[in-house]
Amino acid sequence: MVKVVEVAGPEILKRQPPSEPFYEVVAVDLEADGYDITEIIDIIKGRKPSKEEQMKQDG
Amino acid sequence: MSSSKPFPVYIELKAVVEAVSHALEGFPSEVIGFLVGMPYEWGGETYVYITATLRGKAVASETHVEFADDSLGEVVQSLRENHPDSVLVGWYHSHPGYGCFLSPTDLASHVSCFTMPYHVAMVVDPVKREMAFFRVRSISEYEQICSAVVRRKVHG
Repeated sequence: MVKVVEVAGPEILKRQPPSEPFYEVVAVDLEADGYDITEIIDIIKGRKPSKEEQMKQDG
Repeated sequence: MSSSKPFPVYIELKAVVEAVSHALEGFPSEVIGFLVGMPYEWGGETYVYITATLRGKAVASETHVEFADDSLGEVVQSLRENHPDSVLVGWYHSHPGYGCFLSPTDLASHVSCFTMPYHVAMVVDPVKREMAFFRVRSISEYEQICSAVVRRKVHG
């Protein structure tokens, strides 16, 4: 016998969105027209150091 | 404490890198995966905070992707083991070279699997180098939504 169970989502807690000082906002899509991910792709492909690596290189 | 209206989506940079990496590795085929995080409420609005991704085992081509039959069980197990305090808040897939939007097939997939109003869809195009988020209202209606990419600061 198959029993159908209604699945509920998690309880939605009140929580302030990620923001300063504990989070850095790296990029924002304010107009809902998407992101240019060129920089991320270049970092993944190793063409450009990440911000952390750049800071290390700069001393 | 500010109670201004939040973006519908906040995603950690590492999760973006995970999804984009997946899209690049799968090229020229489409790839598919899940978005992991939690829904929250702030300022009277519900938003999702995406903290990780889970790759889906897929049957894919250059223009079509769907989950393999045995993939969802592995995803649920991985979620329980690696992200016990999180839930699936949506899914992502890639559109290599044809831009960020949701096709009729994508909409059908979304409404069949992601039924909560906070669930989101992310599309990555590793060729056009674009990424976007969407909320689906019905099998025939969706909208592109605002979002923010964040990085947790390490204090020490």
